[in-house]
Amino acid sequence: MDKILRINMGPNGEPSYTTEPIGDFAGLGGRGLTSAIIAKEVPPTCHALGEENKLVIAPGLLGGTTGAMSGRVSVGCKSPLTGGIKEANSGGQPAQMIGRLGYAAIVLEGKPAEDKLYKIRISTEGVEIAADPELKMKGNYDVVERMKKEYGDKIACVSIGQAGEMKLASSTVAFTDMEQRPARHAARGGVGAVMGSKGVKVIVIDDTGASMRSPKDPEKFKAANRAFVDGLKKHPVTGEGLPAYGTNVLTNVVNEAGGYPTYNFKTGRFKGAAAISGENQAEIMKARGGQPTHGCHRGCVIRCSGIWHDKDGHYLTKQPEYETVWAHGGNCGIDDLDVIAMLDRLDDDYGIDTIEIGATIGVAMEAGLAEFGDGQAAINLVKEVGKGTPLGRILGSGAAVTGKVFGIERVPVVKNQAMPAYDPRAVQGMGVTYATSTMGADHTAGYSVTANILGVGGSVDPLAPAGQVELSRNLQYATAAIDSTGMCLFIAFAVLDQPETFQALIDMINAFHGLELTADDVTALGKKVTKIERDFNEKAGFTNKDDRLPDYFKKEALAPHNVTFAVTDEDLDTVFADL
Amino acid sequence: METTAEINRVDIEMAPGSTGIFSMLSGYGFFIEAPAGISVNALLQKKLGLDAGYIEKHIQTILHDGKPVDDIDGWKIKEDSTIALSAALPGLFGAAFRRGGKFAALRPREMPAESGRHPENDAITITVKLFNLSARELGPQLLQNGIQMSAETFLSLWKNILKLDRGKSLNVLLNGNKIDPHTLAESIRPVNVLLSVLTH
Ligand code: SF4
Repeated sequence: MDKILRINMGPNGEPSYTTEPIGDFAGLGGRGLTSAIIAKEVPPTCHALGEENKLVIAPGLLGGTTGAMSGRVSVGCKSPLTGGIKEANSGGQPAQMIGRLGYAAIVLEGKPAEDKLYKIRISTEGVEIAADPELKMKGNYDVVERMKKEYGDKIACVSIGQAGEMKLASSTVAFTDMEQRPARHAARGGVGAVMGSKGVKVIVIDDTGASMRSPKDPEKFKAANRAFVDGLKKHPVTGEGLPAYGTNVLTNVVNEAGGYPTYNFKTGRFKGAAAISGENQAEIMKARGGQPTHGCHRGCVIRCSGIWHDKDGHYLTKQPEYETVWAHGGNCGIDDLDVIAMLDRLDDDYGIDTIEIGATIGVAMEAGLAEFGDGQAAINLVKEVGKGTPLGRILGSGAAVTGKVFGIERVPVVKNQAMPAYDPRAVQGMGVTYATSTMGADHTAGYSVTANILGVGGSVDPLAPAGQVELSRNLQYATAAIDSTGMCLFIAFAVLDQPETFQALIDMINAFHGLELTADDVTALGKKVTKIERDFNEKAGFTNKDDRLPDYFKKEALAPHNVTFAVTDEDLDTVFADL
Repeated sequence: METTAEINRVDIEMAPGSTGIFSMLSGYGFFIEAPAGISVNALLQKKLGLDAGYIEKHIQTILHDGKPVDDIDGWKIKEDSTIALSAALPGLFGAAFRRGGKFAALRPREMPAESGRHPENDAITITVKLFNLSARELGPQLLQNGIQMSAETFLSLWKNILKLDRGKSLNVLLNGNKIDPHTLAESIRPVNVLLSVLTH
């Protein structure tokens, strides 16, 4: 992984590619690498769909190794949704295969002069780029089937659906999973639209003949990997809760805590929560012959995902995760897991972000386009997006655009990106992260809770008034660091509670690369990545006024606890005062 | 609590190994009677039969009327309130609502739970909700002894159980008489249900 593959899609001449050494970007992976390349090479004020924007696909530092949990991939660009820098993260098989082919990143640059659609194959033999008009307006599932017919079943695909081709701001980049299904997505911020603007429909990765990357110190790497896996297995979140129920284990409890955004963030509890909970979901999957415990890529030992079968016992989609179940479920008043699974399948096929489109349908329901709770109406609205009707294009442009078009005030977005499944009035620290994240409203930006272990920014007094601000900042740094390793963020729970598991992670990176990183170096990396991203956004025109939640969160009390968002603007402005 | 005359008694017999119902109990509240002024810890140990070690290790989040409880000994439970128990949870939410309050600052500032005032009567009724692993682990014993829940809650739980098509493999008795699982819902009268589940 010491080279970068640059694919220039035009406009001068036919698409071409070059391979170059990683150079100045050495030591970076995942989000660290995508953000560094975007910040250095993309003018912050450029149009996100213009030729100056780039789409960077980067495995983590341990991509393509035998390291557990190391197969996540980062997709970076200037976002057409937020107008700021973007890193969207996904599971799936391509990261491992790109790593084994020796690439630290694939960078799509330029833009074709003509309206052509391309497929790209990357293998040990090199790179082939060919126009394929047959793929036009095909869904991700169809595209992958065609690629399998053409290139065999050892491949992995990175593709866009109709939404990406239409350059809609909620569009995703799909990554195939272990079963070669395009069910894993770099979903947030409209990254699919940027791939669509480059005229690239699919990148086929074929690592036949490539070998596993080998560590500098194999024995030490093996021992550290073992200790890391043991740590994950013995922790109650990563060893029990997530494998048994997936992230949807949160539905019941967030709902009970009154923080489950319901009916487009009108109230904090949903009567139908138990019916769509992870516990119920797991039982349905078992009864129908699906799989409630499954990894999104080979090498995952937590396995928070699963396989959802329809009522007839046939595969429909992967197990919809917590945010998806919420976005299409409680947020729209829908309490039927079969409807939610169908919406997830359509989202994956068209290539749309489940959070963004779920929030958008919530706004559309508030506007009277459908009744809250009407599952068939929700399915029909998503189908409008796939068909590319004028209404579908509005919905596919996200919650903020839809709110404007239909004159709705209650639109749950920050920097135009829809909020995920935790009401910031009930989890105020989450609200701080939504407001100040470089990515727009994003739960994963502060998902990692490793602050005290990583020691970023000193120790935190949770009872101090500034506690939420300080914690949110530290968590955002820690998350940026983990995203840069290419590890799944869910390792954070074990790392938080078990210092030896955190050490094992650092030992793995050191043994593999022959480095001597310390915990301080890792946290410094998280801080550096955050600074790069904030600088980019500032140059793109963002100010502290963009680090705010919509006003109604301060004014409308959320039932059942009747809380409003109480963190002041002045406090929000201090979150990144140290950068 | 209702008198026996207002209770529908539902007994379910199911094949060994079908543990699904216990998991599906997650999120559906059932009633427990307890002495007024009982602490959260005493409720868990004396009424739900959990030992201190289990509570420490496995009950990581406790919500009292939706508000997180940290001090399980000092915390007194109010009449007609709801106690919810969960195993360890992922994410920022899991960290913020975890017992012990290490990340409590992430909760809303004005959200500390109100401790219960002692009511005048001697016994109070509390709704208990078990979530995730706690439902799977504690459900079998509780359901074997029988739990009482509102008819409304039971009917929505029953709808989910039937959705799995488990009706075929379940032997169901209503007030001691065998009944077709698919007609059970129509025969449930308002107020409460005493539900017990036995595996053979
Ligand atoms: S824990 Fe879940 S999200 Fe993370 S790598 Fe495993 S299956 Fe994927």
